Amino acid sequence: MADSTFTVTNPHAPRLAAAPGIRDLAHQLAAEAAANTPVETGRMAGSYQVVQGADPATSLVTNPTPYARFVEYGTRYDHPQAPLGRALAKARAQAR
Amino acid sequence: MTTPDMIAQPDLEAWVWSHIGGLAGVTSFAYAAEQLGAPGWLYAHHIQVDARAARKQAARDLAEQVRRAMLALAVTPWPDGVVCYAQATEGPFWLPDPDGHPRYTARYEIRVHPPRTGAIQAAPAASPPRRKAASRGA
Repeated sequence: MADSTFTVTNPHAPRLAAAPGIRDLAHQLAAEAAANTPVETGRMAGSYQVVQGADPATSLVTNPTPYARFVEYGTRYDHPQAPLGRALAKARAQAR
Repeated sequence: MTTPDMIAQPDLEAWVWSHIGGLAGVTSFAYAAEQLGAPGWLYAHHIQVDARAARKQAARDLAEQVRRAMLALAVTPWPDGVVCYAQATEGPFWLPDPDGHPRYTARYEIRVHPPRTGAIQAAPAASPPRRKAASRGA
């Protein structure tokens, strides 16, 4: 078999190709997490954001509400509601 | 009325708690369970474990103890079921309580299925059969 030589012109191409699908998935996660969030004023449920990560194939789902971590992970006095955790669990099961 | 046979699911939460409940300052909470693959066979349980102590370093050491115990579940024999996957999905990371009390938090995904032998059990009837009301008069 003849030897072949390949030149990689863009090492980021695979990650760039995957980026739109990953971004869509992040938006679905954010919407699912918002739907799972308990609502009193609606501030936290309406604050999920999808932020671009350090490389093209990374998207972050964040929530800047100051008390979001305590709703997600609970406290000594309240059990975790895990709105994003439940959304992630569902997505992981569907991705299998 | 009869109900179809079903696969009895092992009580994973109780199994986990029997391994970590003896550690003072540890709490666990199962926040999701998702079916994987064939219905009624393989489930992924998602469990959050908090490790609290008077000092940050002690809470961290406790969280590490919990992590080892959780990951060891995949190789620990269990007569009620089979743990086929146990991994941390988040943490352990530093997340003090709102009052500043030291806490490390971690989340784990544990996949479990019933034992291969004797998994099928008849489900108990949901309610006793109804008796037909006697007709009055003629």
